Amino acid sequence: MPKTPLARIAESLWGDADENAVSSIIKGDDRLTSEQRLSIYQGSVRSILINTLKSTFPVCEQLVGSEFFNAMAARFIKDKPSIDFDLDAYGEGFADFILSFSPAKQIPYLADVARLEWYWQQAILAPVSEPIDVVILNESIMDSHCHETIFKPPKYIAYLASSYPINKIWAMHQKEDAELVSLDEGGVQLVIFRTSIPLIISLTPEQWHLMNALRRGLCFEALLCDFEQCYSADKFADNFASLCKQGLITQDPQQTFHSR
Amino acid sequence: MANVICERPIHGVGIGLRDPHIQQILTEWPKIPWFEALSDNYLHPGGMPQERLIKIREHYPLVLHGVNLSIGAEEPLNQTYLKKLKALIDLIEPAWVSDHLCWVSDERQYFHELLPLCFTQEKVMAIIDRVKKVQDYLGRQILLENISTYFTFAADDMNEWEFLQQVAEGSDCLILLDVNNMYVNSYNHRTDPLVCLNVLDKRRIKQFHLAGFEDCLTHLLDTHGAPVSSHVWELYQKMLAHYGAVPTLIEWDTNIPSLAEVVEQADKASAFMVECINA
Repeated sequence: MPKTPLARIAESLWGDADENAVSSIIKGDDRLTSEQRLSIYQGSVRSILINTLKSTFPVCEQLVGSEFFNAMAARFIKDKPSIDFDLDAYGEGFADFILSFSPAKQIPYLADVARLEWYWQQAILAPVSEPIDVVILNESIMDSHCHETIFKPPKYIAYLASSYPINKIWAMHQKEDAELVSLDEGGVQLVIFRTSIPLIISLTPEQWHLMNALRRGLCFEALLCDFEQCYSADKFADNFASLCKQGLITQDPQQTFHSR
Repeated sequence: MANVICERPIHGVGIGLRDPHIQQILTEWPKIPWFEALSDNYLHPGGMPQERLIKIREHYPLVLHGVNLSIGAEEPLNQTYLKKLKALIDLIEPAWVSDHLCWVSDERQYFHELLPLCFTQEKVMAIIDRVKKVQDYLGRQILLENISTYFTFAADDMNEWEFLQQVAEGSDCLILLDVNNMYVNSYNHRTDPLVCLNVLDKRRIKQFHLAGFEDCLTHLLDTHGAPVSSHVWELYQKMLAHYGAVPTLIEWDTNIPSLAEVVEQADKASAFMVECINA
């Protein structure tokens, strides 16, 4: 069956087809040939995706500069065209792509920053999770069956561990007069989630351990046992309270989480 | 769907709702008759963009305008998109829901660009069928907008106005007439924009769009990144004179200026509209 004009244009937009073949289906004139007319669309389709990546990964662009970012984005979109109507869904694999993009290896934390930016955008688009009510929390803990209670993290939460202080690198690029960050500060364990606004929180090792136990759906008693295997039981209450205070224990059932 | 052209409560000149202005709108509540929100930006249930849109809806009439319906594509309609759009419509209760007479996707990917259609009778019939399905699913009429194009097909057997009118008539949908696109196409394809006056059914035109283009010398590029050009203002006055005081929208999508500057353009359109009403 012969291809329709639209099918032939679709192929040509990514340069899959012989552009000369397009001249038989597109009208050209003395101002612009049919190939030049098609190339206006080829350019705009690429720019839309590159601009989408720039909008989702602004800190990455600042870190490498526009020229480098454009080249990196162009390589990415060649391999990964958009397959979803939702442009907010475009760029999910960008951090992994950066890891494999050899010119970016000079900035070893770039992929992790990209991952942080991706999770940040998803948090903006996620529904709010209400932090657990203190009264309900107290009742749950005072209850004789409290050992069976399963506490939940927010509906949307991303877990991100990095060998670099990426939260500070990210924060440094949110305002002009921010302090410089030393890579010697070492790694971080972050959660990205949403209360009334999106938040990035750096957790202590104890809190990170607790959050990871929570996401495994452990009941309160199992949570405590699990904690005691690595840390002193004395630290449990303070760390659990701190997570509650930061909105990381909610009343909603967990729907999604991502981790790295 | 019955052959009914219903009226909705938007009047005057509205403004395209854009991110850089939202905080100002939420704090100052400026006197703007209505806003047009880009539906595709608000499809995440409960997300921050949708929360802000709900707040704005509490104070202003809204219309929804989409890009990714891909009404002219050859693949089946994307049911996930339609489902999300319907949920947004139910939440926002917009005066009108519109998209473009174009295609933006094929079976492999989304281009997110408004691509031209081949104006044939066969395509008219295919799109009528798709528009009917969309309207049945959404339970309401939609508006389809004429797009800016940079090429036309050798196989076209009618002009864009005949194509648009036949689709609208056959599917009982309504028309969003973009006056800037009309001018851009007349330049890019050396056609007479006023041909539409003899073709489009006045009763179906429910919105005008106005925006700015970039002159690339060989062609005009529909960037929505500049004030409305004098040529387009001139054409707009002719459209008002012929089609009446149709609710009009100022769109600005790139190099977005202050809200005040967009409002200035809206005020200018309002003045032309008042002239038209008083004439």
